[in-house]
Amino acid sequence: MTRTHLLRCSGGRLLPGVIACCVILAGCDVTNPGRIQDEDLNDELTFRALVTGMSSDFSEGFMDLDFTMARANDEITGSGSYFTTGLVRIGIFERDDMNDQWGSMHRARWVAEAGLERMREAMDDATFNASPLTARAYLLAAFAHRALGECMCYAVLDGSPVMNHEVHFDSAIVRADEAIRIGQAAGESDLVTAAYGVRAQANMHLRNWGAAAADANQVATDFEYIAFYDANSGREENTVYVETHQRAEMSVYGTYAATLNPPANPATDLGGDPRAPWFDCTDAGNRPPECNSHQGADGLTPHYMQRKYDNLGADVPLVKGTEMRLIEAEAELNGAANLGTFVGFVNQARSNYGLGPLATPATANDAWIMLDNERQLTLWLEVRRQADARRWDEDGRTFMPAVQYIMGLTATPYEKDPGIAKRMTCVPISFDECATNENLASAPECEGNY
Amino acid sequence: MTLQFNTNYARRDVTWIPDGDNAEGFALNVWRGPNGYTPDNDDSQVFDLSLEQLSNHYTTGLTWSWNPLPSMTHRVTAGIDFVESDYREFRPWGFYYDALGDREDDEWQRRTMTLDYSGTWSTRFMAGVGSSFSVGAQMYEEYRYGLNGFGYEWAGPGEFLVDNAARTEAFESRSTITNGGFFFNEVLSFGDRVFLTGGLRFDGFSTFGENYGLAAYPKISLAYTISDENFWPSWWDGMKLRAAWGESGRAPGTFDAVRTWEPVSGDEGQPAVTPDNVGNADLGPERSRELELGFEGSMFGGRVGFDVTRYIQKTYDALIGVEQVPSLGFVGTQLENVGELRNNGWEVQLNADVVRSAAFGWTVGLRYSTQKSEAWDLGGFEDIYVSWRQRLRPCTSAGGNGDRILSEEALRQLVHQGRYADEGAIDRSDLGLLKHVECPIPGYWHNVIVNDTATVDNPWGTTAAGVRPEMEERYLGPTYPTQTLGFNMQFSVGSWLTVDAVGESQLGHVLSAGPAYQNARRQVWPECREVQALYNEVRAQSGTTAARDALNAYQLAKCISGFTTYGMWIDDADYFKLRSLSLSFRLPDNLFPGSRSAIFQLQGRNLLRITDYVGIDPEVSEQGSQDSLWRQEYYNLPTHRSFIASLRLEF
Repeated sequence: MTRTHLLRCSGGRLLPGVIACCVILAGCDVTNPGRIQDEDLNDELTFRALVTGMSSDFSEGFMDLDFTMARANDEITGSGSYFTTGLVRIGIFERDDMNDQWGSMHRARWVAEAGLERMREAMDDATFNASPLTARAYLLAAFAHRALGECMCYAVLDGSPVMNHEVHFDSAIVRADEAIRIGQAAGESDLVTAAYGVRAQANMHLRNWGAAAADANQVATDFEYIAFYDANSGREENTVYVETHQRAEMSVYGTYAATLNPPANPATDLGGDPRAPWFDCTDAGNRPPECNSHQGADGLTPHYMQRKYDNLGADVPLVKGTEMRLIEAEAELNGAANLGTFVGFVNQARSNYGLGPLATPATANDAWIMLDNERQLTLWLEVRRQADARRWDEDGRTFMPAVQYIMGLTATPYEKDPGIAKRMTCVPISFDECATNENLASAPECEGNY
Repeated sequence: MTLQFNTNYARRDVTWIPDGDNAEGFALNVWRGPNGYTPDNDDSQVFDLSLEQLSNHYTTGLTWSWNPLPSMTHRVTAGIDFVESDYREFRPWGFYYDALGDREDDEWQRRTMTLDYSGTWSTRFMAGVGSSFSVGAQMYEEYRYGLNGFGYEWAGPGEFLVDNAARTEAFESRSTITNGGFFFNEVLSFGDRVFLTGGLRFDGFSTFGENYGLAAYPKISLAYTISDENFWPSWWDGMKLRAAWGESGRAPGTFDAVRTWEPVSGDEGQPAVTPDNVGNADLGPERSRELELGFEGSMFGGRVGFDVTRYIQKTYDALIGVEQVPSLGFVGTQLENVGELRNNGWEVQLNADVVRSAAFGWTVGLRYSTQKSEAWDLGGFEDIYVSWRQRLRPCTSAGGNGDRILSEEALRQLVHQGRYADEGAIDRSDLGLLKHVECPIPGYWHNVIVNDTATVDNPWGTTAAGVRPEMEERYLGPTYPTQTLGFNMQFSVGSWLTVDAVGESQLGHVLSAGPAYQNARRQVWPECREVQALYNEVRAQSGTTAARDALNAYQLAKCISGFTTYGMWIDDADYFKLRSLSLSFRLPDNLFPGSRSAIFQLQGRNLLRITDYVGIDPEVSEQGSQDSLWRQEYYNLPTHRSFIASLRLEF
């Protein structure tokens, strides 16, 4: 309920008129349904809805990023009408097209962190430090920071000046620490495992390989922690499903995943790898009934339909034990570099999908390419690959297929814009943030359109 | 004492054609040809989608008037305006764009109730000086209700209702806004030819912020019938001079003043909340102050009539949705009282009986108006984004000492016009430069090519850098027309034949041609066929040198997906339309027994359109008749041509 008042008789201004008006219009206060007033959320009984809202905001923001980054990361091709598609295809994120992506994930982060402050004020210390709700709020804050660190070029927190994007990984680790501490007190074992997982991911990006491997080791290979999606309402839907099954805005055509696992028979075969399944919808006489279109919404791109998310409520993994094995594998390459140990981790992950083991790579470069292929397929359409490309590019591993494909250094059906050296792998500070945040008024990071 | 009662009822039953930004749209699929959405380019499948709307509209009013004295009147008016609508959208099982089908049912109601009282006491103070003093009060309540039901996925073929679906979803909305006010008004008349009016009105609104009280709106006006003076020539039938100044207001919306959260769902259907509105306890009404000067009159026994008005309006504390800092959590806009908007223009009407005789008559009417809007100051904001690259950018900003100085946008426009080499060379305190600058409410800004004559050398080649389109954001023009020119003409032959024509031009604005941009990207826009064929040759590395040389960067920017932008398809939207041409025949009086007259009329509507606009129709836009600041053409059905035959009988 939102209460508003037609007139306030104690206003004091224009006294005679106010008195006359109040006499005439007494009793005209209005109560409108449909919203919750901010102060009503200070009641502890509302905290479950508050934390579920954190999860809902995270899922919505994460899906905004998934739809955008998947097209930019060469995981899938933009094949539709949206005006971002043309630019994203050639590797450019213009800051005024990125308002939703930036804004919704920052909202998810802020909702979790501001919600924790609200909960801390309303709860006594003992309750706060053993509550499954506070543990989950910390975990969701950690996931939001991880997503921001992986997807955004720079960090801006609560209207702050520009900071290095790695601030988000540091923040994710701090939130995950709290989630582990409170989650253990609350007996939330899955939540604690997920917190180890997100901490491993953040440490991986910070190149803290010892810590990353140690955290990853806490997560069993078959473990999975998800962002929820559901057919219950529009904001809960898996947009990648909508844009590939209900519309034809994204196609697997011409992507690295398509080259890794082409289906033997388009009508019946999901492709050679269960981690990145897709259908060829182009053959009108021999296409599965799920195909809604033979061509993209752009009228030109063949529609190869992804099948990883095959319903509106398909959830998106945030932490997977299989990725943890790959983090351990990467830590091994960055440490002792024993290729037998390395491929052992890789094959533990593969066996979880029923895939046969790979042979030990002959060289370190072969091992890195193997790692890249495995991460490409294991994390397909999970909003993770741009950060891989960025990390490996910064580390000088430009031979990696991810770097080659995502950054447009190799020939693909949709080359990068010839005017840029590399496709962008991160979202610039959004137009709205640049325009409204006083601390960015003269920031060079806000100059230009990307 | 009198009592008046009136009531009215209207019913509309409409079948809509799928339209606009819609993969199921008729125009979209027809114009995109083989690159549309319909399977095998069979666009008739669009009509498997049915869109029906039934609306009922009732109005009722009661007016009680009482004159206890000849010099005193009291009037009480009560009224109800009630509209309800039932909109139904149905996709059958097997529909091409939603194989399992769905249904949407939107019920909508709006009830407006008003209660007014006004009392007037008239008297004469002395010879030739009269007074009419009024007081009054008003109450207004608007109630809106909406219920939207959605059903998704049918079990098989057939007609279904929402609850027959495998999945259902419902939304409900209700809101009430109340407004109360009272006023005082005094009209002084001098010799029944000069009238001086002064008034003051106070309004309270349920949507004002907690810290805001009543809004007061003063007004004053003067009217002088100068043609009543003895010195006025007799051939000049009448002439009235008028001047008026006053303030009015516009209230914010239902929840705008309050910090709120929206109840939603998450975690697979569990109750949740998400930030909704930041809130602003100081939110008050938008206030407009308008000065209007004008005169009207007639000459030569009414053969010539004219009316000229000049208006200057300034809007203070404009209610504008201001973007919030996204990293602070509340994304979207918060309505705030910011800045100053300006509007001014001329309205001129001229009517003439060119020929007036029993055998033949010819009358002409012309009207011309200008409308210039300016975002003068946006309360510190240099840019407020509206939608689809339409923005508000102010002409001026606040300088360090509080004086007005040229805004960043004004500097950019002056440089882009070539008046200055760079922004640093401009004296920002020289407001005289504003005559070269436009800052409409709103305008289009978009990326357009700035090296349009360069020859391209295969921009994707590996050995040559090539010349590629260099795109920059530029101001492209106002969203809304800045000039309107209209005419009406009537010829009559005796009393048996009349020819009427009505035409209108809208001038001085631009529009984004969505179909042209989207079709160009899909290689199905005629203007781009030749360029795209050449480009495809070059891309296939089979192009000849001649083919490459024939392409320039402008053509790439206009026609090639990956380079082109909406900006390249935002075009002047000036047009002239012949709205109506009709022939009316008066039939013999005795043709229909008992009738006093019989007139047969043939009318054609929208018979002629003259425009250079690159899109389909510069008059249509995605918003239709909705109240919206922005406009964009996007596969909307153009204004249709129609022919009407009618017979009018009077008994």
